[in-house]
Amino acid sequence: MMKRPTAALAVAALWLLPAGAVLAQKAGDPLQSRLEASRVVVKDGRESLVDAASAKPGDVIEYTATYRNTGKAAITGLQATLPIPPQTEFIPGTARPAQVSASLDGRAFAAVPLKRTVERDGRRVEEPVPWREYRALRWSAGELGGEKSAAFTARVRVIDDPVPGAAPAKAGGK
Amino acid sequence: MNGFTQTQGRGERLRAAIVAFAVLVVGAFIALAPRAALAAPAAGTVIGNQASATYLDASLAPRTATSNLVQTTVSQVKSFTLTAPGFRTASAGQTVYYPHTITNTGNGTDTFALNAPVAGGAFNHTGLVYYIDADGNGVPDNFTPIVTSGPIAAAGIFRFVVAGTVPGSAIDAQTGTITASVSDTGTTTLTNLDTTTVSNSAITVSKALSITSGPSPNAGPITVTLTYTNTGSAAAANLLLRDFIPVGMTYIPASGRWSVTGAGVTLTDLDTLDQGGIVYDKDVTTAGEVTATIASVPAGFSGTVTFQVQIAAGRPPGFINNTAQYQTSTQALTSTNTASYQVLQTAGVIGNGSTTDSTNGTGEPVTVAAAAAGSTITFTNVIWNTGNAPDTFVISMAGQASWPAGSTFTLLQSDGLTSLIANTTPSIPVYSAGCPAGFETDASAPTQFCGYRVILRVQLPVSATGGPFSITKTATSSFDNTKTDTVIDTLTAVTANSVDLTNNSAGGAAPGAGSTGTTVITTNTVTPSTTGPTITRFRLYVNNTGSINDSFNLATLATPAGWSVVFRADGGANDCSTVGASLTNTGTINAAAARLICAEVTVPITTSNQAAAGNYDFDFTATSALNCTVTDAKRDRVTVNAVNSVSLTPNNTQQTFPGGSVTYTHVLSNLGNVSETISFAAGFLTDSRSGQGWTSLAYVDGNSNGVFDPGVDDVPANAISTATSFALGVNASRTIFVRVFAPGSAVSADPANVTTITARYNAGTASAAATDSTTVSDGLVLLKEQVAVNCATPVPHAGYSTALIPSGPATAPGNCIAYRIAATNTTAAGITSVVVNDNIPANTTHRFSCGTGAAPGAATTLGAVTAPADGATGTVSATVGPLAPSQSAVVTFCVRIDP
Repeated sequence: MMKRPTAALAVAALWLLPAGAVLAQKAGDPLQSRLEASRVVVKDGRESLVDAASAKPGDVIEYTATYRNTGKAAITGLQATLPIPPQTEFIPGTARPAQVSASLDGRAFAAVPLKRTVERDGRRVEEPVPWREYRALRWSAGELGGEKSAAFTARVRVIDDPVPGAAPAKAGGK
Repeated sequence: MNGFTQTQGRGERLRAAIVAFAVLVVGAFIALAPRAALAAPAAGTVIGNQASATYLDASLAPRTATSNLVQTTVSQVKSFTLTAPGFRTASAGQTVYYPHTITNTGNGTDTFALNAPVAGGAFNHTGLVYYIDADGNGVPDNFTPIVTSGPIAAAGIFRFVVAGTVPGSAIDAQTGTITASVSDTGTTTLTNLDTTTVSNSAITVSKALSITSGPSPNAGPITVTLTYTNTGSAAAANLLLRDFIPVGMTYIPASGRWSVTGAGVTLTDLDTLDQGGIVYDKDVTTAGEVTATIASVPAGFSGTVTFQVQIAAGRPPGFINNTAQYQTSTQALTSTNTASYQVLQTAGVIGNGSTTDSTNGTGEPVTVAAAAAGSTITFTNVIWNTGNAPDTFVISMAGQASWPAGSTFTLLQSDGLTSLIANTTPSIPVYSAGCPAGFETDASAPTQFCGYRVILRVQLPVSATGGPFSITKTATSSFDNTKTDTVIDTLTAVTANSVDLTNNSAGGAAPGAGSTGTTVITTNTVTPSTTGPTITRFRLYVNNTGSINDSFNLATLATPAGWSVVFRADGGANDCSTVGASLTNTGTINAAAARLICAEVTVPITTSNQAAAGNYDFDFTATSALNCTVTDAKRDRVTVNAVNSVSLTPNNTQQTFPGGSVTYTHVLSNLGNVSETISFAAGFLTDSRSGQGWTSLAYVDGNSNGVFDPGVDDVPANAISTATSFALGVNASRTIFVRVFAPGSAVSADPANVTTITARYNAGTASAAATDSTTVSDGLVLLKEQVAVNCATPVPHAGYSTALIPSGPATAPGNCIAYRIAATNTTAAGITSVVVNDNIPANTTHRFSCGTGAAPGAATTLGAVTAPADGATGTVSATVGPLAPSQSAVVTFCVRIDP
């Protein structure tokens, strides 16, 4: 029986601060925020996270937004927003915490999965909004105590559709 | 099948990733909704992301936090397609050209190698070589052989032909093949198999467009030429040409021509009848299709059928492909080469202030009429993509320097919260029966466009004034940076915040409203106390007369020495009758609201010499915490009344013997806030028993040491008379001595002689008096004195006095007082059987520890003493026995005040 490295290694890597990462915090604001991007690499059925400076279409990028309350007093009403960048699509089920709302325009948020009413064959039916139209996620974390941190994670895939207008390949036989 | 292999290769990687996630992913993943087509991002595209959060801090103020920007650069994935296998009929010795198209379906530029063609089949084509066919008309553009495509951009195409000659030895109905092979710079090689069938009558048809690229729309006209050639040795019958007009091309009616009947003869579109050897129609035989049948094409003959099209509007960048088909009575239906019109991308942008109308100038300039200093304003601009393809636009700003120093400018996404990453809009799509969520829509033809809302947030400094201020935003197409448009945002005026202090009520009609300078608004009259400070309060209303919420710092410009001013919250009755916590700031007062503040002024005690009668003015100020130049001052006044108060203390009681005298000490103190002149009117010194011979004299303390010095103070110069007058300043005192003489006839049974001394002040209108009661004893004079002592310290004690022990710490319950009783024989003869009795006073108990330290606690210098037990009450009794003339016996004991 082969021994498999535990998944904890990958989880631990997620917390490592990449060299040169900038901590964004305006003077006077108690909340410090940091966003990290990692590329998910699957090799031999094992997942690992590597630097996401570059990615190919189809690659999976994991974003982790970490918020730290540097003040002594608790803050309340914390709402953490993570945009889904253009040219990527949200991978459903990868939001951590899983309780998350989403938006198609970065303004109006509703619980996942998003639904909308469309007219099909003259009837109005409710259907789920395709995941790739999601443009932002939002976690309502509520209270964050003094000197406490909270992390929010989600994965996106770089869009990998064929070039539009290009017909499906019709290669001749050899 | 390498083409599929390549495609599957990417798919497999994707699936592998999905399988890996399956552990994490919920089942809903299976129910993927239909996907809208989106191109993979081009190599080199930067995917940026920036998280944000909103929250309330400890003071419940809303705040925003924005993270660092993370960026991922998209790397290249190589992929392409090769089309299409061709089928031709040719005669022996004829050269055939098979058109092929490479489409770069990867996300970056790639170069494709054309591998040497391979001949096969019943006969071998000879002279196999590739030529370029950039115009896509199915024949070589020139006869320079090529072996590479050169660099082809993502989504770009490369057209070429493979040429081969049918050998003269080939016989009718034999087939030969040519394998065209293409490799990218990666590992993929794709092939197309072209098949030539030898025939005696061999029609080939090629297709060409007169214009192969341009905008959409393009009125053209673009001429479509179908060139047919019979390279065989026999005539071909019933050449059928079919050309389906693709979406995006529009047939121009009555544009059909045939080379045989000439350019001057129009082929009718509706006619299905013979028009001189050709049957031509559009939409009749097959809807959407041009159909032509030529009855006979002689051997070696070549001709053309032409018609014209134009390019429809609103076509996205890309290729509009058109392939015709042909057949003859002996040749099966075959496709021509594909002729393409490339719709070029055009960029265009309009920035304005409307969310529904893309017309330039609509809603411009975007104007905010007024904003308060220190406030945040937002301008909403809409950037309309008027190009024919999705495009992003870089927003730049100019003119910030003309705004008040300290203004900050932030470009935000349409949510008004998230910063616009790299000041670049997301990709704004083109209008296609509407615009997606998150974009604005101008649905009115012909200017149907999608726009994106860009919000400019300006934080004005608290010191901002003036106006108007403008900022010019320029949106520049990322595709074509020569396409720009500007929109101007203008703030017409900055309204300063302001504050007004009033008395007693809020609002513009309240006392002190407006700028009142040094005018005294409210006067409080105070009579200071001779025993402690006095408090008086002013009701101040801080009116926030500005248009933004603000808090105000409270201050008093100057406070007289010894006085104090404290600002306090109202205690709840809304009239400062009670007050709450002290304040230095009003806390937030909403715009146009007011708050009651109690200014509490403490007037010092009269004897402090700091509360002289007069007017004391206080300039109270309220200053904006946002902008220290926004302030208001208001003057209120405290008028201090004069207080005339002089005391003469204490009243004394002593014994003397007949013919003797006793001297009393009094202190004259000025307790008021006015310097007084002390005078003595007639009758200032009286004796109640002057008729019985009692007399008295008064002296001032000549050397001002507070103690009677025989021979120094009782000299005639110090004697007080009606002519005596001296000044007594505030909090000053002067000692006065009264000497009372008892007549020799006085006996102990007489009532006490009460001597009254009266001093006058406040210009003689007020007086202070003290009394001395004097009795005589018949020989044994008892002098009882007291002193406050430490309860733990036994005798002897010092400092016994007949004076009152003033109320204070020494007289608190639990403290001790020692008594000394001196019994003196003042007669000229001896006396006997002297017994001195004294009671332990009420509210006290006998105390040994400050007496002799042990039982009986009390002591006598002569004889024996009995006393109550330690802590008991009762009588101290000293049995002195005989006393010689002038001999004294002294009895001492100590008591503790009941705790």
